[in-house]
Amino acid sequence: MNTRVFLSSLGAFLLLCVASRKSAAAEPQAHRFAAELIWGTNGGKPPGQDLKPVAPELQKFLGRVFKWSQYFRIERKEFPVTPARAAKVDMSKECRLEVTQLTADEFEIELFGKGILVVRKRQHIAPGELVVLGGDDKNDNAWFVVLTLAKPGERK
Amino acid sequence: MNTHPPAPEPAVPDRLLQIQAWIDGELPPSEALRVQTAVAGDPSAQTLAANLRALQHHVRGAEPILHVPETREFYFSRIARAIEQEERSRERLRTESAHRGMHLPYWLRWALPAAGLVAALAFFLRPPDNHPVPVSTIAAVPTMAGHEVDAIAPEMTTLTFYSARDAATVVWVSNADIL
Repeated sequence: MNTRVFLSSLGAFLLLCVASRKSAAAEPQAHRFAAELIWGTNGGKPPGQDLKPVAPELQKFLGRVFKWSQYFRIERKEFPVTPARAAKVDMSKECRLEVTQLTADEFEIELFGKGILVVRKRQHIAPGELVVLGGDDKNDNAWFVVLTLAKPGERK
Repeated sequence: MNTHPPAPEPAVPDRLLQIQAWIDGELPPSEALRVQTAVAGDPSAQTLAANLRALQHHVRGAEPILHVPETREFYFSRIARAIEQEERSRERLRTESAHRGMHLPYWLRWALPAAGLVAALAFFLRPPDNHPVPVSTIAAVPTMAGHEVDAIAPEMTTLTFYSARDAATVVWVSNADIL
């Protein structure tokens, strides 16, 4: 193989690498999120409401971090997020969540309560990672919004 | 009338030396053949050669064999010379191997930089990694790099921490009503 043939082959290979990189980067990658609105209490399940306990792993984590012993799921929703389209999810009549993708792995999370922006947070989120937003509620109870980015290929 | 006595014949010592050299095997082949021919035709030379051979035989047989004792310095100097020789051999081998390494085959002179270039490209053009640092490797202390929180209302405050063990970020908002 002479020098000219070698350099031509190398150049073609480099062009192929750059082209495949650009084509891969051009494809919008959707991230699948799951959000749960949770109520934490030490007083047991409230009567007259159809609340289900959260998953055992989440119950264990929240119970270890916070002072409440019981956590009930009010709502759970899954939604995709792409760079071109932010997700706006109503978790309840008064609670709304918006998730915007800023970069490949950076997201902006906005939580609204009764129409008021409660918190805006920007952070890198890895698949499987939890983002827990929480605050105190009446009668020494608490609310939580747990956001999870699904792992690639994961189905719930 | 001769006023000068005849000069002594110089051939005798030369002849003696030539025959002695011939007996000792010190003459070149052509000269040795010439002396051998001359001796064969001269009885006195034959007698002389026979006497020289007898003398050589007696000298060789009676020569005492002396064994010189090996001194301590000589013994250790032999060891030192052997070590030096070994070191020189190793140095020569190292130099030769380094010299061989400088002369790569023609195809390898191209293949090595090309392989390096491809490796660099593979590194820089790899697919985007959504999580370059595994969560499990992050230190157990709260890590808030890249986190940004805005608490909007003046009466609200936030407290944020990150648990590497649980791969979880917690933002606690005080005085917020969302239910």
